[in-house]
Amino acid sequence: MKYFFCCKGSMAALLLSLFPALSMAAPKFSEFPFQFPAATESVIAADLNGDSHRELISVLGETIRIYTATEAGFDFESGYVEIPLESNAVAWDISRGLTNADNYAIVTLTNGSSLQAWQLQGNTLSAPILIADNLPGFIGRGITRTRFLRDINGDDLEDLVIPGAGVLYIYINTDAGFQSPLTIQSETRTRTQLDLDRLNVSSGQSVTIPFLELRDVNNDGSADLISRTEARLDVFLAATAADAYFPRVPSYSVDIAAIEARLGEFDVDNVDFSNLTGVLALTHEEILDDVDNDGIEDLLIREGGKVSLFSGNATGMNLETPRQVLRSGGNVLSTFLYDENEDGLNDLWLWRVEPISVGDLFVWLALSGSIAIEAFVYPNDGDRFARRPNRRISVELRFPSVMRLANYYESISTQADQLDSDSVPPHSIARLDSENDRQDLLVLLGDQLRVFMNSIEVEAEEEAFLGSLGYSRERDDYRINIRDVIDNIQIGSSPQLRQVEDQQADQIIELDVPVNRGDIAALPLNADEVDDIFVFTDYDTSQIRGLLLLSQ
Amino acid sequence: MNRRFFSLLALLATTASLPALLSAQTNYTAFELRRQDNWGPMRFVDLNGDQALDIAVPHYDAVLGRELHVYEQLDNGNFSAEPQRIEIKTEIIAIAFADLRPEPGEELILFASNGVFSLSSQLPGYTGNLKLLLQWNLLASIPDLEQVRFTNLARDINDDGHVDLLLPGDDNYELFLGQGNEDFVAAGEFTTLNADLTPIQRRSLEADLDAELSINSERGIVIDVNVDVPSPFAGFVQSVAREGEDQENLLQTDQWMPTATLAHLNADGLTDLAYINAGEAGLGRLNIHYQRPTQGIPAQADWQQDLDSSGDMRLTDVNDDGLADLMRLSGEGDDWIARFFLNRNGTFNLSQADQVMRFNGYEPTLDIIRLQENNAPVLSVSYYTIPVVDALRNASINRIQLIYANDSEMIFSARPVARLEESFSADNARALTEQMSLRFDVDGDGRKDALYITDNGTVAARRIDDELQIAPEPFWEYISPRSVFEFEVLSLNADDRPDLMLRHGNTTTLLVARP
Repeated sequence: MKYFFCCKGSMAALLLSLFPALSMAAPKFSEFPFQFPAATESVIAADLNGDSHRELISVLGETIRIYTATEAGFDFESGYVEIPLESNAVAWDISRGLTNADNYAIVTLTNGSSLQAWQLQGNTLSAPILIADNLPGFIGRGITRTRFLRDINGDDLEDLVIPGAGVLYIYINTDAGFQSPLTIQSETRTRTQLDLDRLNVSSGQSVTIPFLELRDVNNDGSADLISRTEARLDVFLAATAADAYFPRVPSYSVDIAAIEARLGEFDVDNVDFSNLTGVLALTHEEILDDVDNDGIEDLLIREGGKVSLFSGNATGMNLETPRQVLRSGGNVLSTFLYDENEDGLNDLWLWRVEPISVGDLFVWLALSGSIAIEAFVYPNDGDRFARRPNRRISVELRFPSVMRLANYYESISTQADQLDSDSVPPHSIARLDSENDRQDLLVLLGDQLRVFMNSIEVEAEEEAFLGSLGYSRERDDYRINIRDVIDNIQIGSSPQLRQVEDQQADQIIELDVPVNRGDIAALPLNADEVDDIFVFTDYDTSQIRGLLLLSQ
Repeated sequence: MNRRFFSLLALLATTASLPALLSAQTNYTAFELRRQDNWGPMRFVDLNGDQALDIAVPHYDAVLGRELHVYEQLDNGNFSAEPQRIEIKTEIIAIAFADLRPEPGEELILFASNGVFSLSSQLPGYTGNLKLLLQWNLLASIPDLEQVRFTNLARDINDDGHVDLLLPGDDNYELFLGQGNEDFVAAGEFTTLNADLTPIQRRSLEADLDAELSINSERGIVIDVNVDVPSPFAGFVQSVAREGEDQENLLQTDQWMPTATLAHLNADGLTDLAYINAGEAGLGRLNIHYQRPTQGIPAQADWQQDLDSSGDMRLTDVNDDGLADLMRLSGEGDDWIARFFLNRNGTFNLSQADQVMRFNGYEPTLDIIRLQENNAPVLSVSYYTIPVVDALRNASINRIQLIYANDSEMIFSARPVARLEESFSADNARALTEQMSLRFDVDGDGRKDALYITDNGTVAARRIDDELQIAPEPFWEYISPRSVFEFEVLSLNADDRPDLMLRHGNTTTLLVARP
């Protein structure tokens, strides 16, 4: 579980303001006032000319602007070059390894067909290099950062993933040029609203195309391609010895549409209202994971309460005959694989939920309730799972009434709406020295930037398995109380502010300009190991203004 | 709070099917439509010019792609068993319908990324049929390759009998007035974005509450509740991804702008334009452009004022003066406030509502309804309550239907003139799938009726008398073999008899009234 702990924002600001700075070994900075045109939506830092200083790249209208970085810093008024774009349908990306493995380059895909690279030599932009033409891509209007460059096969040459109309074209880059493309279905998600007469609703479109799922499925050291759509699961095993990295047809496929047809469609007229969770019998999952510990992923398909295990091999998957079929009664919620007994083999966890009736739903409108969820663990013997589970873990999920949940939601929303920038001082994690175990914190208070050196614990990236339950192998009964989760939510600033609220700042940097609408961002820009700091101070209809603090 | 919770609750509470017994005071021809997505969009259009509306529904096939399936209404009120199939090319983003050509019947208007086209359903294919109406860069540029989207961008805006097009572009709208013969002329361009604000300033700074409850192999059971209060500079400075860093999306784009709304906002009888964009200090801003008789829509707003624009907002005539007023419904949980702002010849005083009404209930629905043609509109309010005693004793909830009469001093009476309270439990939960509606006249007598879903999942109607009281018993009921979850009264042909659409779980029934 995540909680946001707060010290009621304004209190944090007050406490921080009471303590003067100590003089500690904080880094020194050179200050560069900056201003970006108001139309700038973002800037991206990348070293384009190999001098260990990162340039700043932004898009303005139909132009890509590059603020060049030097030893002396930045000149935001005139120290930039621009790439004029010849179309209003351009996808662009930052490449390292397409033309020159040492430096980054700006790569543009114009109208979906023409691929060009732009390099920075010193502070001068080279003439564009045509990389490929007549590509079958389909790009919507706009100048859009599209991450179409990726080294798929690990040969230090960037390959192309070009979006088309409902498909992705994958071009593997070789010393001899690009291979013929592999075409796969893309799971493009669009949300579109064009209708008139919807006051207070926006019109427009959002588009998301997920990236490829790449990993070594058959343990041959080469990244394979997994393509999932609503209708199919296709796996393309890399064929490095062939003249094409990926085969033109999938090495094996699962027809998900056929699975759904077998399970049947939901018919509300035939629902058993004494067991609403019975509709889980219509659900399915497809999981690729190594069961027999040979390094090759096998396939687990759950159809309702039936779980089938298919064996993977170096050249594909034996889908003709399942290695094992298990059947479970009850309402199966989900399955996954996890090594329960720590023997290095993934065991099968099958989660079930108790029957829930319509009467239960009505009671829960006014009364708190609980739902029993169970996990049955089928140990893995190295070849297959045990026919019967050897462990049952029970989780009681307790929750307040619907009325109470609605009130909680209203309260949280109200608290969040009442927050403003004065309540929560802008702050950012930074790395200002070589200390790796603890991070530094920057806090913008009024016209001062306060630096807290080595004050923030580096958080572990992942929570433990069932960490929220205090899971252990010795315990089989657990309880989650949603009320406790909600009660522990505190709206406001992040845990970082709380960690420094009783500390003195190691350095206070007085900003020479007033801060009206401020924020901070820290990232490395120059050749040292220390983050540099963007301090935003104000914005209006013409500019976004602030100070760039470059570490010395 | 999920505003559809109670409907979902009832959807899941359905019992077995009912006897196929027809019981009604009107004769109907019943047509049952079964299609891929029973809850997807549907349009009723006269494509062949026979004065009877046909059914147009989207269809997708993995091999054939997108199609529009048209079920033609027959002389006997039934519909064709097999649909006409019209291919929808991959470039098409949205479809509308309008009568553009001299031949009888409406045509399809096809909206692509950079142009608008017409296509007749009475001619085969696209060759010799498809016609470019005008070139235009549509706000949405990527088609959904599996869904056919309907849109209402085509309508007669200047009341000259010709269909016009109000088209959203990359950062503006443009009005194109139809001249007949599929000709259009530009008649005004404007932007709904606040040009005084930068992209930074336009970003939503509202707190975002996000909750997740899931099961996965990494963390087991995941319960995450996050509240993010974004900064305008969130994500402004980025670093190119480091080696091995996960890149989740190949592409992610967003392009949005406030939607234009058409309404009669001043007394000149012309349709005007309104929209809400970002104002000062976190408020919204209502903008109005009055249509000119010959010049169309002006580029600059004629009138503007900032307002608290949170909640649902609607332009509708509440005081029967022919001008659209502003209605705002805001709140959470069981505490809601409706504010009414009267239109005074094209202007509003948004700092002071003309009437404020408070409702304590869940999922409120407000409608301004004219129960009879020449009567003043009334306010219909429906919501749910969960009295603790009833919940404990009977595991039940209540649905409240209120009617507020028009009032000469305020807008609506301070207290409801009619109140209907019904109790629902697991035994009759199917009646919860759709709220009672006062919008329809089911028997064609010129008076709106109270249409609702019964405890048994049938659809029935009760009379509303002159005192706005809803009769205790129904005068009309249709018993279908399948439970009804949604209903609508339509006019599907040229006679005066109301027709109906009933939506079931997996099928839809069209009832065409017969003599």
